[in-house]
Amino acid sequence: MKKLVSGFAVMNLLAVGWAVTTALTVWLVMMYAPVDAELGYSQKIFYVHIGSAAAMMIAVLSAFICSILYLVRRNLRADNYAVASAQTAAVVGAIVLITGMMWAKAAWGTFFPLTEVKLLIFLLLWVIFVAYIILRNAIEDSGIKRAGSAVFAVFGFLTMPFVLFINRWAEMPSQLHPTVITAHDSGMEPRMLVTLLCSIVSWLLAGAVLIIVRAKIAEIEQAFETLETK
Amino acid sequence: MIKRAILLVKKDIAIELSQFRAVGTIAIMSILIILIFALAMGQAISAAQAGAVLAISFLFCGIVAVERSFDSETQNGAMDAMRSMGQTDFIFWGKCLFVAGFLLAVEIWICLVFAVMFNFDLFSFWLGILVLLCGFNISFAAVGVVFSAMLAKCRGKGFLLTLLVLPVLISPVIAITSGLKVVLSGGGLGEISNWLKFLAGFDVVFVGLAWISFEKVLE
Repeated sequence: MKKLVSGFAVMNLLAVGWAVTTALTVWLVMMYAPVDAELGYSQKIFYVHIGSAAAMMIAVLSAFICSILYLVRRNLRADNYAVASAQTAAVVGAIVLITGMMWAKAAWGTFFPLTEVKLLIFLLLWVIFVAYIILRNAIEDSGIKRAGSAVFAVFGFLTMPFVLFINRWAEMPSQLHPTVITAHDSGMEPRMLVTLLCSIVSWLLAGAVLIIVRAKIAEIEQAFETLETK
Repeated sequence: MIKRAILLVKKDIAIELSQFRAVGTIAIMSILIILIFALAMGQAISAAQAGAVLAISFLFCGIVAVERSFDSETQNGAMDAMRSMGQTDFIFWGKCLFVAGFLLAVEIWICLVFAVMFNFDLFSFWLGILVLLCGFNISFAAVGVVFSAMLAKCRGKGFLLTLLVLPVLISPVIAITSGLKVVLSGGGLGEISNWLKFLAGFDVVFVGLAWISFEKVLE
């Protein structure tokens, strides 16, 4: 029981941070960041899109690391965190795709430009994590379920570098996705940059909180199951 | 290990030749898939369209082949008996060898059906097609064998296998489709060297990963 309660202090702290940064982000987006000269108000989607994409990448990375940990150590906690990360990646990924399509329609005139490698990668990652969740629900044997989904998550994650290579060789036309932040230049108006950074922090905290809450729920459910069997 | 793996391949070939279960299903399925494409697109198709039709047919018929790969082992405790022999590496390599060979046979059949239905001269490009197929089949067999072993005792195995294998194999599918487009446009092996390197890289990573994870999945 002590173990179950131990993570709640960190979770509460993250949740407070999430609430504060989200409120701040909403204010910055509405009141502080200037309206884009070309795209108008539709440019504001960008703050949600980039922030949720950052949260998805963290969730995907967490699912990959926790799956490896489970396969190596057979640690139930790692499996709980892998599932929680995959579920978070699927939910946040849906937000990335929906806001991305809204942005694409406003900026480029099409919902889904197929030659966009970044779009392809995110769609593929999202499909992989939705498949992961379906797999978890479809297998009854808990041993096969845990090992199988961990193996699938590792396979899914390692597919990504290959998709990146395709961009170089497939003679794809120049990519529409802008490189917003580089090592030397943000390429953005300073007020927009501040808003974007605040949004990213808020989404990262949201991702972390969702992962911890979901993993804790799974741990509590397992603790109850153990008590019931005793 | 090699002896046992070859014995497993011989066993699978003998079962397939005596029952014709997967072969029969795939033979009919491939005809239907290509017929639907031929009726929808007409016989005059470009190299890019031909590559896409072939890749889709390879993929769907291949998944049926992979799905059946552990059918005989799930009955009468055959898998437990094989695992009791100690190492399980021979099961992985034997199954991979059989599935890769079986996929190649299926793909040759699909090429024949395609050539007849679309009146398309594939024979002139046989070397390029064969090299691409070999590169593709290695990854397909490795990934397919691991997932098939994982889902061997599950209900709705076919649906789940499709759901798991397709997103993981998307990169080699793009590679073979793009490679076939170049080959069928008259390009030589030199022009598809990038795609062959890509498939080789994918093969190395995924065979290695599949080999390591096969034991974990069987545990």
